[in-house]
Amino acid sequence: MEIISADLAIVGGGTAGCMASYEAKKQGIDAIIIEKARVRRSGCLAPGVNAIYSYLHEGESPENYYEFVKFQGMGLARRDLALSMIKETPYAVGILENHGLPVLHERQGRFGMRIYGEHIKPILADIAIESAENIIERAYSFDLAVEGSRVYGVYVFDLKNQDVFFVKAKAVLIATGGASGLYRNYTVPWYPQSNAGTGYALAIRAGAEIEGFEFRFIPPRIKDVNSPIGVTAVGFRAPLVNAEGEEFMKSGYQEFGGETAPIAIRAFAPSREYLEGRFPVYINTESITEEQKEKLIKLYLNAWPMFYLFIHARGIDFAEKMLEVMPCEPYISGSHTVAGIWIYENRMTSVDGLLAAGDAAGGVPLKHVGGALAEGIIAARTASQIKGENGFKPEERYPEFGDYSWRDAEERMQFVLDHYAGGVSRYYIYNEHSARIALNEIMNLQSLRLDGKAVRVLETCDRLAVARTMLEHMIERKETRMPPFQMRSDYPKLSSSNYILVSRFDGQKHSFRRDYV
Amino acid sequence: MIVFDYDLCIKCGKCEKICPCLAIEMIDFPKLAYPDKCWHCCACIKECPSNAIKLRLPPHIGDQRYEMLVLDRQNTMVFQIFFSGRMIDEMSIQVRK
Repeated sequence: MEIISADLAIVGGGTAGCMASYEAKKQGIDAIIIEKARVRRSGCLAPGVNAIYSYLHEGESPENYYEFVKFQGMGLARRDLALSMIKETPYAVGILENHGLPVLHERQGRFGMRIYGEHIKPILADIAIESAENIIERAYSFDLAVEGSRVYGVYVFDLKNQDVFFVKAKAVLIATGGASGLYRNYTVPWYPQSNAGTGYALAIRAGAEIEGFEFRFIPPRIKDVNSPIGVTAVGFRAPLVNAEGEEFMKSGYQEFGGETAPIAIRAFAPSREYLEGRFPVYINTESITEEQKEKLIKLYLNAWPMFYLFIHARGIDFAEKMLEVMPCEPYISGSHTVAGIWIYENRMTSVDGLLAAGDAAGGVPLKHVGGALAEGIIAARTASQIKGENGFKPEERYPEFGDYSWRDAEERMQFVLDHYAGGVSRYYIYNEHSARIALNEIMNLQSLRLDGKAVRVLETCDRLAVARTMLEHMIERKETRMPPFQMRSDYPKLSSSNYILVSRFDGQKHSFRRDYV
Repeated sequence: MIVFDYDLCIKCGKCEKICPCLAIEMIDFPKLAYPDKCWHCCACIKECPSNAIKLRLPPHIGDQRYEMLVLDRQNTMVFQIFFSGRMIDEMSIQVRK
């Protein structure tokens, strides 16, 4: 088996990974990026992005940001992580701007910066190319080498020639995306199918601590096209209205903040309107001017170009035909909820030498692109402090393949989670009984050996590992803490408890501790 | 859904290499081998040197006669909307300083 050595092995050439590579070079260590697809257009920023949220504007303090994310997380947010992260965002955005990113220097909400970010990923790739020692593309990281409580490297399956190689490193940074494709989707997914929760699965299998996995992310989106509404709702102050013309965020959710309530509530409220029959739900764009309309479409072209095709094919004129809003299926995403790999302030996980950043890492409920950039930088600085030789001898490893179709396993997983673990069809509600049915079925699927295209088999195994940990968390939190992200019919009263649930998988079962915030 | 124009395709394989979701496979010609894995992100359309790929909405979302093409013009991206093969709208954005 081929062994490649580096100071820092970065799993995932996305926002956090490319930035970590930049900072690693600056700190004088060699980094290798291992990427499943192609860095130039991989992950959730493939189409671009129109705002860098979690940006510290002049006149705002890190403490203000912490209060803001705590509000967004309905009280649950890690202060140490929020403060250390937000301080680095102007530095990170400055690097992108120096590499050609058009930054508009206009606010998008309180902690957002508008950008023309269609090319953010090619620009991040340029940064990675000039800083990384090596970038290995079309390569799937499928297992970490952990002995005692320390990581020594990562086993990688080469999708080009089906060989396995080992990247030996003093530090390994998990900088993958979150998990899409767990639940059955009703339309084009919010988050890319490429993001299979691989980083979470690597950490779970390695026995690293995981936090907040009961908080799934369910974004309210433009119905069918599944494009963001934040730019319209927040940027242009367009209110949500139901079929009866009622601005229900104002009339029913004032105590949570009305139109600017935390995102969970902005997903919960429209889902109730659907359940109770007052659909369609619209985002009222009638008062948007012609000039604003052009700007709005351009912002979408930078982030979700299908929107432009959608408004033409559906004949949507912002003045007359309003955009419909509907929350979509659940995801696990560390940049939108506290779900993710548990980390210390220096972005080290509970396993020595193993770091996590961006969507892979948990603890901050609103991290987005700015937070991912910042965490990549912090993680690289921590990696540069790790000294000593790595004399680890990797064993011969090969992923297990079998004869059960990955497609059949994936379809069953998505169906079961939708029906028993609070998917779209159940209006996001679950209970102990239903979640246990889902858990049993996921464990049955995990016992199968899957067949088919290697990348699809590996992705399905990772999704199943993520689904299992998510269900264990959902069962363990015996309350309703954040509807609809975590909402139970057997404990329907809204709780304001102040703990984040942290789990560890020992290869057989999950054990839990509580982290008070 | 992406659609290929095989009269224009030069079989360079750039679409297969760029697809973030590894949904495209080259077997003589490129093919959307895993339609459920297509995110509609347009990465392949922007990468295609012969403008041979266009985007359509998934059929449950809307009218299949509408298509979108994206042209990568260095520091500008040009988005064009077609109806039954005829261009009906165009917008461009600056993507690099």
